[in-house]
Amino acid sequence: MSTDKYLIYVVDDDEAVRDSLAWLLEGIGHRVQVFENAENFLARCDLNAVAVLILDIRMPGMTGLELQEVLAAKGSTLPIIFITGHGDVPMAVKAMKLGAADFIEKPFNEMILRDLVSKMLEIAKKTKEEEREKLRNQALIKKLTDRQRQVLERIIAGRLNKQIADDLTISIKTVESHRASIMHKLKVNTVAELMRIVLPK
Amino acid sequence: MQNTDLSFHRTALALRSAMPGWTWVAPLVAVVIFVSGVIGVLIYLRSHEAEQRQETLYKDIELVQQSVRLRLAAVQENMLTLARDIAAGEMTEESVWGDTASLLKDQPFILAVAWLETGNTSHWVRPALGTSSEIIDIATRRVEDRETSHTFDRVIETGRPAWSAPFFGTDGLMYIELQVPVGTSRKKQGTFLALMSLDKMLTHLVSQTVLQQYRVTFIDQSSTVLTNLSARAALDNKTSYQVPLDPPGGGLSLRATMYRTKSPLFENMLLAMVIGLSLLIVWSLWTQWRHTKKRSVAERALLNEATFRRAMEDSLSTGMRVLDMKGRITYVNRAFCDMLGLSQNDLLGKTAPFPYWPKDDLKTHQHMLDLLLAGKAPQAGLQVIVEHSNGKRFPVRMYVSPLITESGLQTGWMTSMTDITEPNRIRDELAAAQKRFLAVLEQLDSAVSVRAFVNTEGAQNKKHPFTETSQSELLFANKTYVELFGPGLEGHWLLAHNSQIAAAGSYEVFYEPSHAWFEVRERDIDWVDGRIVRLQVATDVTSRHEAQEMSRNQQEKVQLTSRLITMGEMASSLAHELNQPLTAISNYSAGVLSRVKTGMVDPVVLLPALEKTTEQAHRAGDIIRRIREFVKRSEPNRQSTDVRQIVEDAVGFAEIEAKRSNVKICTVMPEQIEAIYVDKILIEQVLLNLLKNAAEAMRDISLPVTERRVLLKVNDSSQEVEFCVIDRGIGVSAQDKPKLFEPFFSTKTAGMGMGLNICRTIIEFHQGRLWVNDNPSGGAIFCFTLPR
Repeated sequence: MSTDKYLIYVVDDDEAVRDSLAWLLEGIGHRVQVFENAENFLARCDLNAVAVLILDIRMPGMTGLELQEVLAAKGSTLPIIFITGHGDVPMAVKAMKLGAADFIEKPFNEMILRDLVSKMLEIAKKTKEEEREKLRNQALIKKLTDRQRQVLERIIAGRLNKQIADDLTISIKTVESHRASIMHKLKVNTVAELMRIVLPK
Repeated sequence: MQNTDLSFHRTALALRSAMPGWTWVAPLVAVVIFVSGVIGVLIYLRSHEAEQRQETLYKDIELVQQSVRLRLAAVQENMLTLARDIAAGEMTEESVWGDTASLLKDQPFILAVAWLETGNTSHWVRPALGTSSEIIDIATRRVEDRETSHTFDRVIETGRPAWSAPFFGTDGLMYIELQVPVGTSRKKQGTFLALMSLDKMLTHLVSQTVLQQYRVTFIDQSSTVLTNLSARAALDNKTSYQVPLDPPGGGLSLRATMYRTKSPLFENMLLAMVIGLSLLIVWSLWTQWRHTKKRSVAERALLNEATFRRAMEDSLSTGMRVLDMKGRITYVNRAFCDMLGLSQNDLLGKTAPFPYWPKDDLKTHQHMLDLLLAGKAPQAGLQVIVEHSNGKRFPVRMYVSPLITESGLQTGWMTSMTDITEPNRIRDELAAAQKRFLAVLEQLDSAVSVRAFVNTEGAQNKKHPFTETSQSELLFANKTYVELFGPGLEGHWLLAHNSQIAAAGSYEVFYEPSHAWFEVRERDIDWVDGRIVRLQVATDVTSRHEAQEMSRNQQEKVQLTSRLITMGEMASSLAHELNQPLTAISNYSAGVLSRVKTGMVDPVVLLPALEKTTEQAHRAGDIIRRIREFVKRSEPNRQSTDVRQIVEDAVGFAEIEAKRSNVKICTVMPEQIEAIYVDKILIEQVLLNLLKNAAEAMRDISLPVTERRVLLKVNDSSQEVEFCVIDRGIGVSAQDKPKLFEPFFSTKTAGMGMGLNICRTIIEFHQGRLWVNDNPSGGAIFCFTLPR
């Protein structure tokens, strides 16, 4: 995994920690971008990139936890690894509850950090993939006509063609024809596949 | 006395008010009226005289007119006679001339006669004797002349004699002609002419006295002056008169104008005298006024002087009395009367026994009076008891001096009398106070001693009374001194400050012989005899010393404890702070390792990371050093310390804690601060404590990032340095404030309650102050000062 050049964001107010972390991560082949505070990060980061955020939990100005909240509010799925000091475990737990990926205690064990980063990048990649697929499916659904959408809703609800025809006061033949064109438009062959596309995870 | 004074005063006042006012107007008005009256009389006299002169002029000129008319009428008659003779032809030319000559002789103003025949031809001319040829020429040529021919025509026509209008001759003088007809009205043969000079007419027809008095002239119809005999110019035009002349008629008039006469000497002198006299009066008035003014100034000065003397006399508290040679009172002043409660009338003129002598002691007083009158009163004065009119008796002292006039004659005795009740009382009180003071000194626990220095010359050197050559003398020692050190000077010497000048404030001395500490104060004072001496007060402070020593030891222990407590409280923060460099070191090393493992051994890449690793190791070391220095047990050690250093160290520590509370520390201090003499570690601890508290107080307060700060302000003045820690935290409640600095009081859950108590102890150990105020914009302000 170390060969993958994915982006790692580091936000820490201590220059030495920030710089040394960058040095360490670059050493194992990551692309690293550092920020000295949360505000700078928010101003300059790309939330759509596949990336991992390593974030100091305790900072002057906006704290790590506050930044986490802001990102969540923005709908970001960026995985976050919190850096915590010795006595900050309760705080880290709180962060985990809020959906942070993980935390790592100072001073870092290089191996643990490396694994954690790799793991997180995986998650990031997967999340991105899923996001992309979801977008694609939504685009497909948009192509359906209103009547087709009404039919689709009822298919997903598990109603039979006959029942659908009754609901919509159309003939069974028409329902079948709609069904065929829905399958065609959404590029699926089975109802199971159809369900996967339409229902969000 | 009072009465004369008053009247004197009144007179002076009256003088002063009357002097400059209307008094001076009356004489001035009189002078003006007198002068104007005299001038009026003079004017009246002059006008009267002019009237008289006019009257005389009328009379004179009418006389002249009369005589001129008569003469000219006579001439006309003569001429008619001659004309008849000529017409009759009875007379030859020769005989006519004979008659004519007599006419010319009688009437010298006729210059020539001529017979003019009809046809305007001159028949013949006969000039008067001495008449110039020019005049004759005029007479002959007149026939052609307009005036002559005009007259000729008139005579021929009317057959009556006619006068020509006056005319100018070639010589510029005025002439006039008379023509009478020759022949009858049937046979008109011509005219007989007489040429007359107007000037000569005046000189011959007007008397000399008139000519001298007046200017007499002929004037024609248009008032043109035809003759002018006089060269005198000064004319009195007001006195003038003119009368018409007929013959010759034709508007010819005679005018007389009086010559201006010189003003009479007498009149001028009168005027001059009047003016002179008036000036004299005004001048004398002015001098009088000036004199009076000077006098009033002098009087005022005199009055002031008298008032001044009176006031002086009245203000005297010493009674004055004058006795004449027989022992009778001739004068007493107010103080004398007041002192005895008697009036002047009760005393003036009295002889012994005087009313103020106590009735039961007349003998003594009589004796003293005898002494006094005999001139044997003692120089130092007499002390006697006198009696007030209300019966109260009091002691007085009297001084006597002879009263001698200018001429050296003694007229009496002047006695001054002073009430000596008060001085006596003061003297007694002073003595009592002295006694009490000594009693207090004797009872004092402190040893009081006074020493004086007498140098070898025996003279006092005021500037340096305590020179090495001087010998000492114990002037005073109280009971405690004697008990502690014995009666000698030794104790004083041993405790004395080793200096020529008395030490300021107190100092402590260990007294070997009794193993005791003394607090000694010394001061140079003026001794009763005017010498400068040194006062020494020594108090036994041995017990206080011991207590202080003990408390100081305890203090040190407490301080150490406090430092340990502070460190304990900060342990978590310090761990975090140490973690930073350790993390960095670990990261750098791991990075280097992984690079080396993959074969990236380019020193250019690796060196910066290794350098940074070293740097971070130093950073960790610094933190450890600071902790160790802080906790290290040390004696209070005051030394000259840079304020900036204290602030940097304390802020460095406090920032660790501040970061935890997400707070920034800002420092405001002058560019240059002079070093202060303190124990650096202790002051750093105080400052750290305050900063730490400030940061903690702000932990749970929500504020914008820019306001999340603790401000440390350092103010420098000549007397002290002030440190203020200003936070925006929860503040100190009013009920906590008084307890804030008490031991074991804490608002923090984890606090021991020793921090602020120890801080105050430390600051007070440095003679400074530590206090707390509310921050107007929320939070608290802790300040402390350190004196220079």
